[in-house]
Amino acid sequence: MTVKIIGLCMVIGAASAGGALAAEKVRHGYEQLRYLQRIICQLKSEIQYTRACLGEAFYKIGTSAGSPYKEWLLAMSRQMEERRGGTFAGIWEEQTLEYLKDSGLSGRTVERLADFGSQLGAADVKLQTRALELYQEEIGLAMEEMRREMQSKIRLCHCLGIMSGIFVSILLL
Amino acid sequence: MQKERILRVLPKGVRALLEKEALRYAKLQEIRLRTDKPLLLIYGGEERIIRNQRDGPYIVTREDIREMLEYVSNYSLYAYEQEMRQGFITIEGGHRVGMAGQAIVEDGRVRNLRYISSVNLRMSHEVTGCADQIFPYIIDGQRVCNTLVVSPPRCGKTTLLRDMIRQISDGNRWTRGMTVGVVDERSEIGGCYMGAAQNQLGIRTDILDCCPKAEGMMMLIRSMGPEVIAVDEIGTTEDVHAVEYAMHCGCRMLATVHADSMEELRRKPLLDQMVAKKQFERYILLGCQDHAGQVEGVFDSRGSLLYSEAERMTG
Repeated sequence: MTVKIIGLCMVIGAASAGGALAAEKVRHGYEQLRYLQRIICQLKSEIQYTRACLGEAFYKIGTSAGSPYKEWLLAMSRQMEERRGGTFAGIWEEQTLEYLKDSGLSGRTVERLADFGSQLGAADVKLQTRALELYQEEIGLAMEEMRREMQSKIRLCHCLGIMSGIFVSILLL
Repeated sequence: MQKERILRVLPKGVRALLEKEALRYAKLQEIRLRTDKPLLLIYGGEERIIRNQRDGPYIVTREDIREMLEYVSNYSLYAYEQEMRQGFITIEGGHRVGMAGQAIVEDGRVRNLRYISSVNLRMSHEVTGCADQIFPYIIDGQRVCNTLVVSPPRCGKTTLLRDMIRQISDGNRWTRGMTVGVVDERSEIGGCYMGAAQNQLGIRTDILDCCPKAEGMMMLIRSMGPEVIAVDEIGTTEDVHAVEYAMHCGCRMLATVHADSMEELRRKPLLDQMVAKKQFERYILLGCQDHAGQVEGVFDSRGSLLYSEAERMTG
């Protein structure tokens, strides 16, 4: 009997942990979006106040950024330095998909970010900073939407985890 | 080194063609790319059409121009907004990339360029020692004379000024090394890339790159305490006032101006007064009848001829 009870507890515990993990994933996605917004903000400042070139700005931000943004930014900076042909938009898209696909950002966010490269490198600082501001606003709206859904999603994940644990336990009994 | 710097900014296709050409880069003067037109080089004073693999002339595409602009601007045209307004960007090595396309005009002034269809890469060539012959005439004791280099365009006034700066800064047999402040409004003197001079300007030279001349001269006087200040192509009221201010602060001035002759200089508004007031102690008149940088004459403040290259050759 004791063994049975221990087994049931373990099943419920494991399912609950699964639920907690799913909830953490939702929270992680939100944190990643916030981090991306911070990077875009840093990029805007570098362009607006120091007139830094993109490669230079990527290197500067990349050296102090966390993974996987560090690798993403440094890889772009390196590839731009190598000048092996291709457009900037192409380099940006390729590196974004390679490094940020599994970053925790949603597929839609990564796709939108990959497309954003075509708006960088404009001939005018005002135009460039405005494009970055618009993208920041877009991320802000996505974060707002995510924040609204996040609490219920997290609660749902926890509940589903525990409930599925109990359900499996009943089946086992 | 020069080869790599030049090839780095060229489109991949053009780069491959030039690598096959076995060029001596010291003889290369210009690379001209025009959309839908053949790729041209000015090499050793002669024009040369670059041929593709099928032995026809290589026709430059819109994509080539776009790729080159991305390289020249480090994928960041906005960072060169100011330079684009002037129609050129200075790249590593001091080489100049001139551009032509459609101008965006705002309030009657060119704000930027778009639809760029022509790009001209002009190589920067330093001629170290080209100022040797004029040094005995611009040094008075241990003092550098306030000197104005007078020259028509493309006769080597910036090249001469650059060498004068280098020699004054390092010191030579005529003068000890002095602190020289350079205000390089169009990155022509130092050919700065990311703030660092690519041309040799001497060990005691401080350079303010892409800075308006008048403001830059004031900044240098206040911050760097130069003994000599050098500027290229003075002409506006602000420039003239700043030059006068610098002279009154005890700095020696080296400047250049566009003019064909001393007579034309005396007819130039603003500068005529400086000439009349004898503010410059030496005038170096350049020409390019025999070669670029030919010294037609070194004159004192009263206009008396002190030296002429032609006289030296005949004499």
